[in-house]
Amino acid sequence: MKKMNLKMATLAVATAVFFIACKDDVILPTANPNAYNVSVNGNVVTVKNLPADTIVAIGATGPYGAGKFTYFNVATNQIVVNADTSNNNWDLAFGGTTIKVNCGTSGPGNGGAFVYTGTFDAFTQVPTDSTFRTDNAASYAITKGSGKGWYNYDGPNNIVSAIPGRVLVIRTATGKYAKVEILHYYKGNVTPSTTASDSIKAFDSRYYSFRYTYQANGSTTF
Amino acid sequence: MGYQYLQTADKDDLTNIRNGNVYTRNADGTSRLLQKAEYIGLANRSKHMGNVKITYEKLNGLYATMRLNYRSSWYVADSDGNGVYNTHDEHANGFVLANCSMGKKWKNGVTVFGGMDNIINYRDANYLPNVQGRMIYTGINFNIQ
Repeated sequence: MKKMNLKMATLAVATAVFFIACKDDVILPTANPNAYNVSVNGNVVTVKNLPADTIVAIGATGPYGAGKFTYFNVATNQIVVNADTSNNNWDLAFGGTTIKVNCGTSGPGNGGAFVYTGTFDAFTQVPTDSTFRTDNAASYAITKGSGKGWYNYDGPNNIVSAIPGRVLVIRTATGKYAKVEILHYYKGNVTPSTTASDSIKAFDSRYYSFRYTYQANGSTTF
Repeated sequence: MGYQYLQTADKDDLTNIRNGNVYTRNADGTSRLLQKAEYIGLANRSKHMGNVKITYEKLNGLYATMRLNYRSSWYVADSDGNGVYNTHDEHANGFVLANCSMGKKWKNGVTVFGGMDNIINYRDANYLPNVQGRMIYTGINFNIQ
């Protein structure tokens, strides 16, 4: 009898503890800061950790990726799977530090782009005398090269940082307008410090975090 | 005892900042104009550097010294990518190095001494690779006549 009582008591206590413990402890999954994520806040869409031909391995001449661009559509806020340079369903293509626009030699779309110096928030109107550049193979609308387009490359420390105060003004594949600001080039929406390991600087690179506003009504105001 | 105050600047950078062409990032990654007050100047230069040496000597040849070196923080990289060094960039911490020594000089020219460099064992492997940590030494000096 005593044994049964002890067992019942233990069971009762365990059950009570179980219910008390579980009552308020709802464990929410914390957002993974390294995962691809699209969030919309008003008319600003923020994309984090978009992989852009991320590093596969480090070879004799340095780190290398698979050589594939990641295609993105700013109207649907999504990565376009299986897109390539012959489709019209993407607006921006990211691969390493190169950002292509759906126009010219990059695609059949009616796209275009230029780099504007100023803050993203203050850019509310595309100037009427703007010239949208197009991709022409070795030369791109969003100019390649450190200091010439959207990034600065610190050679001795091997860090790519997005230049603050640069807005990529985009004409999409369908001829509508968007303004884009690149935030970071590394996983986790941060730029590593100069003392980070070479492994981090290589394998965490080529993950774009950026924000943009797309004007769906086709006008040049944001 | 000595102190140096150093303020550096790149003229072209200052012109760019004054003309409103230079931006920096907020904590959330968004851009804003850089203020002139945030501009640092040249990399690897400390604004303040100072040293103090205290010596104690007795007539019987006994002596002791204490030396302190101070260097304020210095900026090492252009972390926010805007091409100029400003307060939002990566910097090394300022530090103090303390050294002490003592010894005795005899009239026949022999000196025996001992000391400790970097008493607090300050190390900064990233930005001060040549500061080794605490070092203890002793020695004898002869004057051969």
